[in-house]
Amino acid sequence: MNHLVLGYVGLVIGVIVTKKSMVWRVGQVGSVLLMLPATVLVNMNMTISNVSYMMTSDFVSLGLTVLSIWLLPLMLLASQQHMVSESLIYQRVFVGCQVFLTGALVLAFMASDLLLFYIAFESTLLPTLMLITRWGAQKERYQAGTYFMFFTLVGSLPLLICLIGQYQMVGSLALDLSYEGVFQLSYLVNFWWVGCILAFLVKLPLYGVHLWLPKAHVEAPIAGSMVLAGVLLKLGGYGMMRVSLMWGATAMLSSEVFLALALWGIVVMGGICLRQTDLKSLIAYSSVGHMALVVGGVLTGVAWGYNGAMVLMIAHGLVSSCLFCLANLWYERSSTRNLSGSRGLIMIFPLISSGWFLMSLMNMALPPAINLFGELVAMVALYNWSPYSIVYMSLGAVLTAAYSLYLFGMSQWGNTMKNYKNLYTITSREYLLTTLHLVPAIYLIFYLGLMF
Amino acid sequence: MLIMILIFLIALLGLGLSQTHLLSVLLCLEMMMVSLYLGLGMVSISGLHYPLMIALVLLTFSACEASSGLALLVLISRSHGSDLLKSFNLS
Amino acid sequence: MSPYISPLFSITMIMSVMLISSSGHWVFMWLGLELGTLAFIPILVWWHSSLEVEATVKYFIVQAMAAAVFFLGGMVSLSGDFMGGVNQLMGNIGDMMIMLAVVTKLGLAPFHYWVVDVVQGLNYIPGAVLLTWQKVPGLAVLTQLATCNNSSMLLLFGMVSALVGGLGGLGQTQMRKLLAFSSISHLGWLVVGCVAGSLLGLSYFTLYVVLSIPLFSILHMLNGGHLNQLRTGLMFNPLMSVLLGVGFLSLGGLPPFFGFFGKWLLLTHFVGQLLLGVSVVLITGTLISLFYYLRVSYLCIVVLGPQQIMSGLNWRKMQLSGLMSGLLVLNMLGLFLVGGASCLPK
Repeated sequence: MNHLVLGYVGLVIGVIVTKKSMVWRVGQVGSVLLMLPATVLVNMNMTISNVSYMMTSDFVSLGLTVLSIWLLPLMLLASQQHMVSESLIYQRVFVGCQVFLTGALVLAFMASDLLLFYIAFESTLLPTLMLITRWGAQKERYQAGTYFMFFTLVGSLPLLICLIGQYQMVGSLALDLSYEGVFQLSYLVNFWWVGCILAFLVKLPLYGVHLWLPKAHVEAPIAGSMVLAGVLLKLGGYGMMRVSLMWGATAMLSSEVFLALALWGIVVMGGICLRQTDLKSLIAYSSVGHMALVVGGVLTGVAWGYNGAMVLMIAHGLVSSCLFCLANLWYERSSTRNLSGSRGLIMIFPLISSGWFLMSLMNMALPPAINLFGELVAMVALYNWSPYSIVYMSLGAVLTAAYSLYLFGMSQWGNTMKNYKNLYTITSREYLLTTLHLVPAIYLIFYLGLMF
Repeated sequence: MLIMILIFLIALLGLGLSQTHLLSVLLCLEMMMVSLYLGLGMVSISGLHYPLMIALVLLTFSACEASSGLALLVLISRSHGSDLLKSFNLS
Repeated sequence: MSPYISPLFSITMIMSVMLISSSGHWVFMWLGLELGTLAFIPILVWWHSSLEVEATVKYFIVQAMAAAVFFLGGMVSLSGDFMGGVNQLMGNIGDMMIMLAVVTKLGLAPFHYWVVDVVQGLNYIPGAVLLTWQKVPGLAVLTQLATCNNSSMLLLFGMVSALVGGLGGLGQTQMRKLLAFSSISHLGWLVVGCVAGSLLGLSYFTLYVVLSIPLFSILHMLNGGHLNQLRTGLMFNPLMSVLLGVGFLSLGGLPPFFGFFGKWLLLTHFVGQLLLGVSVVLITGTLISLFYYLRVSYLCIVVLGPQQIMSGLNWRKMQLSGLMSGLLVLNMLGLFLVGGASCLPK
């Protein structure tokens, strides 16, 4: 799969050097073409297998790789409108940033060595930072960017030391080995384990270290929000899965604390979402709540937990990305994200309201959706860990349903404000964008094999 | 030997505490150097001879250092108008 | 001053390093250090501006004092040779004094105050020489001292200066002070590297020189002292501005860039020698310093300043020379390393 990463490098160069009228076309056509190598991935044997030197692919990384490849053209599609007024060099840099980011993500998901994974994990920081701070809307974006950088960096420094330590003690950082017997089970191993997963818990984010996420989402432009909710958060879940798969029984030592925080996070985030007045920050907080269940699923350390977390991550990647698109679609027309200022959208944009409807339902995990499947499987794993957790999970599910309905009801029903006179209609580009999120989200129900 | 170290430390203290003229700072530096020269003489009394060679090197270089210090003194009095340490800005 | 005389000084500075690295006795080390200082002083006052003269005076006083203490330390250990029983103790005290003197000459953390003041008064080019080449004599002495039993002291100084370099730069708005604090922070890594193995220190030093020289030369061409002057760069010279911002992040050691690989190399050896606490403190200092690097690169990469023509003149007339662009591209070499390594056939 080295060709895939090379393809993204080439696409960055192509976007930088191509002639003026072709920048966006080159970006979009190239990113669609780069989906072709991914089809090879889908048809592969799912047991762990080295694809090429330093690159690997197995059931953990497959879905997320495909997801990040899929989201790149959608990001470009979504951000065409607000980039028209920018000068040419910034458009080039903008497209180049997104392509570079996707390349780094693919590299991170397919790295067969933990340090390569670490470097790719960190190299997603700079393009995301540029997306947030250069193309964000308000002046608070600098603070949001700094929060984003420093939460991630502080979390990932223990990871670097732990990885180097593991390399010194074991002599290898390859992913496809099991290191269970290497470390003596002493209390020191607890610190080691916490150091290893802290970066990923911050990235996910776990309740308690989630403060950077709503800030970053609110300030970021649409492409930044999409990639942040769609793939970057999943980098944390992926890394945690990798590390805990490698460490086996050691991983279970100090996970109770994080499991408790995750369960508490599900409930609290439901409550916080119900109090939001900003469309984007509501969606951002909802993704913190969903990711808490992912943390729970992974940290139980059983196969059901992993599978549930995996399905949940992919489903949430599509759904929250689409919700951000829909919010941005309204924001570009009305210049507001305030919930009380954006009521009665069904009267203005009736067709796109069906998108809102379907996505809200998927967000609350209504039966045919894969979100439900993922949540159920993860919940079973958590119930297996402790029966009392069902209290938090059911409460969380109720609150999730409540705020999804609140989101849909507040934005779609009610009376439209009178001052919206000349809102231009939804273009076919935006319908396409919504459809391209909806289709895989619905289709994946019939193709759960991709994620198992 | 102890006397020489004492002289050195007094000179160092003077260097640290002098707050008026640059010239006095340079004088303190010279005093440190001279005390070192004295110390080398004392060491060589106790039987070893190569410290005398070192003393020559030390003398040469301390003279060199003193001359560049004086050159800086001239420069600073030309640019600042005096050699008062107060006229420095501690930016 | 006549430009024809400058080769004399620069050759003397090079000679001083050769003298130190080939000597095994403290007198010749002292000689080399003195030669380096004395030859550097005329270069510092080249333009005779009052700020420069002042900075040179500060530099001279500190260096001369440290040299005297160095000599005293050497003499204490020399006199210990004749004193029978107290020999070992005197030797240790002498070594300690020599080490403290060298640390002062280098500007390591508890003795770092002069670095900031001196660099603030100088132009960028003498400042760059001060922060890069003038470290070599001191480091050459330290690598010979670090094998002794005072290496724990050096580790302590290294840790403190990584932290101080991070904390001190936080509130700065002056470009040169920022660079001085960044060099203090890097010096901390460097000294710990020298303790862990002299080759490590050497390679990290090379890396620091390669990373910081292009930054110094861009800022020299920009001829600005205040951080705000970077703000117009993206408007007038986007390529250079982005390279400058990325260069700062690389200096800070953000992972995909070149600076990270030096830190990675050092960390691997520190953890291998079980210097876990030291590496945690060093990393913390680097993280703090990354905050101000990030602020600088915000100015270079993301902020669009007001488009006054006057403020952009220096940016606009800047030319990218071959050597410098090569160095700047080298800053991003880390990306190519990662990309290239992942593209090797199986």
